[in-house]
This record gives sequence, structure tokens and C-alpha cells, in this order.
Amino acid sequence: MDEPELIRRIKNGEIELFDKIVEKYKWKIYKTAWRILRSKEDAEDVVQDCFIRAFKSINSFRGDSSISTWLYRISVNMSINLFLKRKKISTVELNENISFSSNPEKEYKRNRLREDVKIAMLSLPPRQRAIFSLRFYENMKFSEISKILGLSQGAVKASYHHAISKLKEKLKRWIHEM
Amino acid sequence: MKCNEIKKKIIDFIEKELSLEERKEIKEHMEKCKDCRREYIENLALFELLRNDEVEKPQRLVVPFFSSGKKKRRNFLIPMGIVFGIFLSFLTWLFLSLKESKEILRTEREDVYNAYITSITDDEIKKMEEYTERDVYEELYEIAEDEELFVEFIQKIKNNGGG
Repeated sequence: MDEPELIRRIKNGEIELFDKIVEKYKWKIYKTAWRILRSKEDAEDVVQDCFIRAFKSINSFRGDSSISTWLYRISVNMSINLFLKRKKISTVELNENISFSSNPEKEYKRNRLREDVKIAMLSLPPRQRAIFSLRFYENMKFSEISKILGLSQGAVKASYHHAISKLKEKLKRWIHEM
Repeated sequence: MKCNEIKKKIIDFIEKELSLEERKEIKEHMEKCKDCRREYIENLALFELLRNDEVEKPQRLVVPFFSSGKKKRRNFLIPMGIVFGIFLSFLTWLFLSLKESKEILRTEREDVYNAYITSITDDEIKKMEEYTERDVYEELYEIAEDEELFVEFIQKIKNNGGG
């Protein structure tokens, strides 16, 4: 069943088919939400809220864009808003994933790198982080990202290149160590 | 192309977004230009660092609005089915038990009837003239303990003359 047909049937009352959309996109939505928020719990909340909102507004989905673009639009905006809301409350949270191994020096270095990457990522404005994540980790085209964020392709590409320059500056110590 | 233009296109070069001609030009330039080559290597190193930045995965990504709701319904149906099955089995057992006891009772009554009929000798039948029909009927009614069986007994007597 193709996606327009799936949407048509859901609109006609076969609401259980919405599960197919959830199953297909939940991980993709989660990954991008996590990259914007850098929090497992917040990313999970975004995934749930995103699908609930999508389900409630499915009748107004005209199919001008793909389901993927539509879902990313909802979830990325939710993630950015949540990040801005959280930022008012706290700053960067501590990494809970610090692990220990038989090689403490190597492990320490790895954890430091992970923490520095996180700090570098969080130094980007959330919208720029969203652009970077969609392009770099999800291999999306600039045209697709521009539809998700409602920006021009040129603006998206410029923001992506700017993000790379900033990350390179923040992580130069590690780059030169490689 | 000059160094500035090359550097602007290095990301596109890494991501293979350029035409073959542009790629060839940049490649040739980097072989000669140390500065641009360093820019290229630094970007490659950055990309490698960032590729290792793994997403922290939740144990199980659940969207309860749909998936779990469906499971809940399924989980709810199973015990309901079991309860209904037990109830149905109980009803069947009750029905069969009642039917069986009724049949046992009927057989017992019929035995008493047969014994009663057999116990009445010809002489006694003669004496029965002294009995009113009503007396016999009353005794049979007590034996039958059931309207339906009583009617059957009366019918039997009328058909067989008491045997």
C-alpha cells in the first residue's frame, strides 16, 4: 500500500492503519529529536506528542508533501520549542552514558571526546542543529530540509556550512590529534 | 578556481555533490595546494569524529496512543475469552447433570411403577373393583412424582391393562 492510499484509508476511518506510519517513522523521528535535544526522555516525549498531533490533524493533511516531511516538520518544531523551553530552566546536562573499562585512559579519552562533541553540538542554535542533523545524519537533500523548516534551500545550505565551521572550531583539538 | 572558491566547495566535494569536472579540478588543485589539502583533511577528520556520535537509544520506543492500546485490547480479549469458555463449560455441565438426574429419577419412578403393577395380582385386580379408579390414580401420582410421567403411567395402564 502506498502512502497516499494509506492516508486516504485512515481518513476514511481505518485509524488502526496509523500504526504503520508510527512503526515506519518512530525511530527516524526519535533520532532527530534526540540530536536536537540531546535527551532521551525529551526525545521520547517528542515522538509521542508528534504522532498524537499528526493523528489529530490527519484530516487537514492534504498530501502536498510526503508523510516523512510532514512528520519531521511537526517533530523538529516541537524539539526546537522544547529545547528553548528547557534552556531557560537548565544548561547542558551531564552525560549519563559515561562507561568504564579495563583501559581507563582510553575510556577517559573516549568519554571526553563524547562530552566535547555534545558541547560543540549544543553550542549550535537549535534550528541549525536540526539542519545539521537532517543533512549529516539522515542524508537528506537541502530541498527536503527547506520544506521541513520552511526556509529557502540557499539558507539551509549556508546554515549547514556555517554549522560545520563552528563544529570544526570547537573540536579542533581532537581534529589535530587524529 | 582560487583557494577561496575551492575551500567553499570542499564540503560538497566530500559529499559528492559536484560535477565530475569540478571534482577533477578540485582534486588537481589539492595535489598542488597544501593549504586546501589541509582544509580537506580537517573536514574529513571532523566528519569521522561526528559519525561516531551515537544516538542514545531508549530501551523500547513505545507510542502508547496506538501500539500499546492495541496490545491492551488483545490482552483484554484473552482473559475474557477464557472466562467465557469456563462459563460456557459450566452451563453445559449443569445442563447435562440436570438431564442425567432427571433421567435417573425417571428410571427409578418407572421401576417403582413396574413393581407396583407387578405386585397387583389378578385377585387384587378383581379386588380393585373395591378400589375406585381415583384411588389407583392417587397412588400412581405419588409414584410418578411428575405430571408428565403420571400421564404416561395412566396411558400405559389404559393400553396394557396394567402391564
